[in-house]
Amino acid sequence: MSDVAGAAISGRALSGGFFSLRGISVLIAAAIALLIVYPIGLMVWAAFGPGSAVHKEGLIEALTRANTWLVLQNTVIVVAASGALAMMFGTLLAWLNERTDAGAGRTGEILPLMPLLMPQIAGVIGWVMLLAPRAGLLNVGLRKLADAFGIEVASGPLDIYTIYGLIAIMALYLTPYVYLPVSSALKSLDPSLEEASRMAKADAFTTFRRVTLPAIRPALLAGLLLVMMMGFAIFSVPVIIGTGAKIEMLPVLIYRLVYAYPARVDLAILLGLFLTVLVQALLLLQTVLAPANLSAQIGGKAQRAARVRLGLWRWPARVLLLSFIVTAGILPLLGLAFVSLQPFWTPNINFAALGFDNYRTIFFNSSLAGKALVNSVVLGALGGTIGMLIAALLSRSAQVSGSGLNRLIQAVTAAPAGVPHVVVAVGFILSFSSGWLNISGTWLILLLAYLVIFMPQAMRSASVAVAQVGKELTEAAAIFKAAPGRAFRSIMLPLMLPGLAAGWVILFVQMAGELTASALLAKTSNPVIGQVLLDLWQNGSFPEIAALALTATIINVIVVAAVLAFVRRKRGLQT
Amino acid sequence: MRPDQNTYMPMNAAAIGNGDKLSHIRVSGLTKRYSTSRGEVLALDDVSISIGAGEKVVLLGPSGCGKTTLLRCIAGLESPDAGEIEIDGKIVYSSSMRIHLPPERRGLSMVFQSYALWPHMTVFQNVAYPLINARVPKADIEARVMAALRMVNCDIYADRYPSQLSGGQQQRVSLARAIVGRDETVLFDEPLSNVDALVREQLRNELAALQKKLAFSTVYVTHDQSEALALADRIAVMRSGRIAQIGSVREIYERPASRYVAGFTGAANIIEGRISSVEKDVAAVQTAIGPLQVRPDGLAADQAISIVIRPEHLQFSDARPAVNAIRGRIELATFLGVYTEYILAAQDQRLVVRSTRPDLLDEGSEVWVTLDTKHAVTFATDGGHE
Repeated sequence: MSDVAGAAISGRALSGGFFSLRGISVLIAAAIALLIVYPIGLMVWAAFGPGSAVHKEGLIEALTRANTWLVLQNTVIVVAASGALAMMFGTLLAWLNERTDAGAGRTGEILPLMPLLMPQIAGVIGWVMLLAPRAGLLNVGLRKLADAFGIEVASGPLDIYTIYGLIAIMALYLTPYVYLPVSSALKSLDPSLEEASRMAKADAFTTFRRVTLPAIRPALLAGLLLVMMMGFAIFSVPVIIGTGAKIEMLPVLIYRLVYAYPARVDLAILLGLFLTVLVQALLLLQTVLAPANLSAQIGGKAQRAARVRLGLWRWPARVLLLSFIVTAGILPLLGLAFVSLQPFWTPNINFAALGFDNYRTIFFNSSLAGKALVNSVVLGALGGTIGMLIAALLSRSAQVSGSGLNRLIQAVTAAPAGVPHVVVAVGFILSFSSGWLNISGTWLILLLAYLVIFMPQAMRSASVAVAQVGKELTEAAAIFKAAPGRAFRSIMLPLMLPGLAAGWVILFVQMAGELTASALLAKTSNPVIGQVLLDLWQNGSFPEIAALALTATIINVIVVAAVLAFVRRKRGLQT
Repeated sequence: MRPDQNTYMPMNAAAIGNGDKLSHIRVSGLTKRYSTSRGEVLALDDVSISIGAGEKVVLLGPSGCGKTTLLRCIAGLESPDAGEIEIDGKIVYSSSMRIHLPPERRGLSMVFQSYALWPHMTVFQNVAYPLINARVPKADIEARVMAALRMVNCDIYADRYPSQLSGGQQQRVSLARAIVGRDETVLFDEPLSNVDALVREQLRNELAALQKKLAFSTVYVTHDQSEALALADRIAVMRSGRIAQIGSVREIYERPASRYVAGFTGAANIIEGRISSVEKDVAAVQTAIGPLQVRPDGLAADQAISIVIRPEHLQFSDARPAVNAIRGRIELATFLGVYTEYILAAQDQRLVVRSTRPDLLDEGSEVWVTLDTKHAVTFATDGGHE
């Protein structure tokens, strides 16, 4: 009964008071739609319209270039392999953390955040600094170890510049996309289902296989599709490691076509559209296969599960959990820290030469790096705030209004998830580089691109925050004579604040460390961390890169820690 | 349900739809449809009801009967499809006039099932919220909040957060919030279903006392018949979006208009039979467990009827009773403190008997039972009653 009633605050019931909210929501949704449709439309027009840069020959060229097929093949192989690894690890880690006695303390909270803490390109560079065949610090260590046993090795033994290195690092960054939906599904899965299986004489593993896995199948599916979508769109790993290994992947090819001499924007557009269609197909598959409302399960209160006792396996399992945290965050950080203190990156470490010169260079001598730091932090904070406010408003108005507006908002805000960042960037270049719309080389073009790119992420956080505020709490506000605007301000907003703040953190770190779109949209007039790191990498100034990456990471950690402490204090008050 | 099919007229004309000046809330022809994945559901089907000033009406029924929807429509939390709602002489909803006032402009308050206390505000701030919204002068707010909290014995918790209170205390605070604005109508949506049994009874009594003192009109939704009997002036038993019967507590309990109402207002035995003869004071009924006598009102010879008799209206008899003698074997005896409940097998019929006699009858023993003619209620079986 109350389920039926739940769907029932129809637009009509509240339309009078919410008219302004409705109006604003429609306006914002329209603006977002425009920021997606216009660039993509322009790309399609440029590709297929009359007098377009791409003619039939261009199309044929794009399809028949041997390089294109090779790149496609590489992309599919790497995404499939790293996706499979991520699925296995993500599910295993989630299960270990949620359902066994290996999970300890805050591991579960920290684990998925770990790869977010440093700009992705910084993490990838950190790994290169550890595992480059000659100068990689881990390799140096391993060689020293081998040397002690009398085995002489010139380079290696590990080499990150291989397809295995590429797949492994990709898998590392894809794992959280599996871990998050699976662990939240496990959190809301009634543990008595599993307990009943144990009482029916099934052992822990049989229970996991026959009861737990089938019960969380929607989450697994969501994770799988998310991993494939992200896999096709991810840029930092292919551009750093793939390039070094001479394995080119689709997003990188698109980026190079724009910067090639002579530039082949036409080909970039075609391949970008192709990538978009690919990811959109996955997105479509997700809406068909996965339940529409996975997030409704998040925050559902289940009783504490009796954890599976792993016995002898407990410590290995715990080590596995911790090792993910270490590999995703701490190891690359150490790599960066070490290289950043050296005058140049070398396998022969001279402890006497260590110093902070590189930091001095990026802060004082190189105005570009310093400017990039400031720009990125400001863009992250501004974008995070605007993004979360918009998302909160849209989520709330989707919640209270009829299904029509609700569906419009859902569709518009989910759409950017199916447009790879590199494609957004190409579209923005095409749309905003000339005439009165020319904002190329400004912070505004970056802000707009970030808002579009991360709107699905913002909406996910905001809709969870909105859903966590019980329906009766807002109804009570209306019953006790609060006008809708006041009810939103005095009841909704304060109650959503912890959820919104958590969403803000994710937006901040992603925007401040954004690389893919920034690589094409940021110039010397509007430098940001991601793009400056990539430029420095291509110029080979490794110690400076390390210093800049480490500084960016420290800023991220401080911001994340401060906001999460605030969230915890707020939540502690209310529960 | 059509009155002509009933033995007793359950609805006197004054009970519903009188629309006179005394009625404080008037609902007429209210209809509400939901579209679900399995098609349309009629949550409210042309419902009309009037509630007098200071009157306590309980909407009783199983989940899905429409009682919560009716309450939420009155509150303004849901939008009906047709009909009219008038509160205190003001039309707050009318499909024909296209009027739909939002909840905050209907001048009523509500106690929610989940308490719905705002977790980020203290108890004091929660209770003060309606006053602030009603623009009560600041100087008066503190005194009124504390007075309301005192009425529910929660004044000492004013500075705490809701999460620091027990369920019973939270519901008391929620009650204080509902009365602090001195609205003439307070709606209750199953307010006691989330608190445990002991506290429930205590809260129920406090609620009744508070209502008596403040004399607000009450619409109270519950599926618990003992709660309904304890709190109502009148009970409206709902079924499938319609009001099956509305009447005073005694009427509903003693003269249920259908087997459904009888079943929902307490345990009831149902005995099927056929009228053999109707005389001036008594009608004879042939049943599978022997001849029985019931009151003749509205009955005709050869009519198939159901006799509804409550467990406490069946009495054990040491010798064979002169009339209404039923012979049965005790299958199960359950001592429940105040009374003992027996399950009796008489032929193929199972009867529930509640007896307060002190000695326990043995399971398996054969006993005589008699039913009190004046408490036996009859329904025509072929009239579609269930």
